[in-house]
Amino acid sequence: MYVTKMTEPDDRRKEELKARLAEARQRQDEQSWDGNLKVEKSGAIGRAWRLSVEIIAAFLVCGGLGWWLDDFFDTKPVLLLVFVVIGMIVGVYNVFKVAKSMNPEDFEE
Amino acid sequence: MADGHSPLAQFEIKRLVPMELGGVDVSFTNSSLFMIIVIAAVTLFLTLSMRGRAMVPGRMQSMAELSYEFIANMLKENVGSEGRKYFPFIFTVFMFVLFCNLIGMIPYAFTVTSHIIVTFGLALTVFVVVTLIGIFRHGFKFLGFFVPSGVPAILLVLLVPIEVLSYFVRPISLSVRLFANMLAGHTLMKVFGSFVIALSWWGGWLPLSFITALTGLEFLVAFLQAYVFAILSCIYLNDAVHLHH
Repeated sequence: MYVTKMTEPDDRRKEELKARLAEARQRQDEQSWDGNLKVEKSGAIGRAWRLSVEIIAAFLVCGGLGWWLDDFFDTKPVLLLVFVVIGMIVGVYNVFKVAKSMNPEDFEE
Repeated sequence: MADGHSPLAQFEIKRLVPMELGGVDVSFTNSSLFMIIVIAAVTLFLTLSMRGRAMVPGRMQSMAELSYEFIANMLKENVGSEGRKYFPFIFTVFMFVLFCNLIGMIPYAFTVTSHIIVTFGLALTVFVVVTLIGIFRHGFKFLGFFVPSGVPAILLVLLVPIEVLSYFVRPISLSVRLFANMLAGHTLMKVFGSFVIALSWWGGWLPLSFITALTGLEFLVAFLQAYVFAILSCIYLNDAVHLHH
């Protein structure tokens, strides 16, 4: 029986294959993806959850931070109040950023 | 109401195998049991359905391929082609959350994701991993993420602390969203379930039909919240990889 012996390809052919593979990968990338990042599309209920929780989470984090700092510096309740206000600002700022990422075309100047 | 019939009794943590490690309670609880069930279910679902490796997939194989493609496309659309190497991480997180939510829908099952500490643990993992990716890819330039572009220097004094705080809000908002959805949905189902019993056969049909609709909604929420969790992880990943707002 005749058996074709497989030989280890030499370096030149390996390099060629590597280049061909890289090119094919790039072509595949370009064809299947237009290069633009998509705007999130999780439906109305998904958007509603994203926006509303953003405010609550900012409140919780900033309020918690204020409370902890109050304990640390023994200044109850000054820092808690200050940080709750900061929490409101951060919450609204986050909602602004999320809304902007949801419809970027409305925020173009 | 009798003990054990409260709408919140379903969320109770029970120690199945009490254990203690250096003064810390590390008991094997019903929550741990269901996490293991979830991991086993995901593993079985993916390995068994892909065992045939058919060119034309059957029903189960299509489901496994569909979930793969779903996350692969999500990563490509939200992070770009560099996101591909983080596929295993996002896919694991997505499948775990999805199966936790779905297995929680089985009557008498425990919903792992209805506990804030579990979702917070998951969200914190995502947060830490994404932050480390950002630091390793960009080094010191990662701090530039907290400086919004095109803003006068005076406003930066105000905006940079807000940006930093808003960055640290991420794990909380990610975990609260998932936890609140699961907790509220399952509590509501239990509450309406007790209405069915209280109104018995002549008036229980109304809450019963409501529960039927609510069950459908809960399945939607189970998928949607797993999706939102995964897509937000992708968006955070994109911020860390590309460093723009």
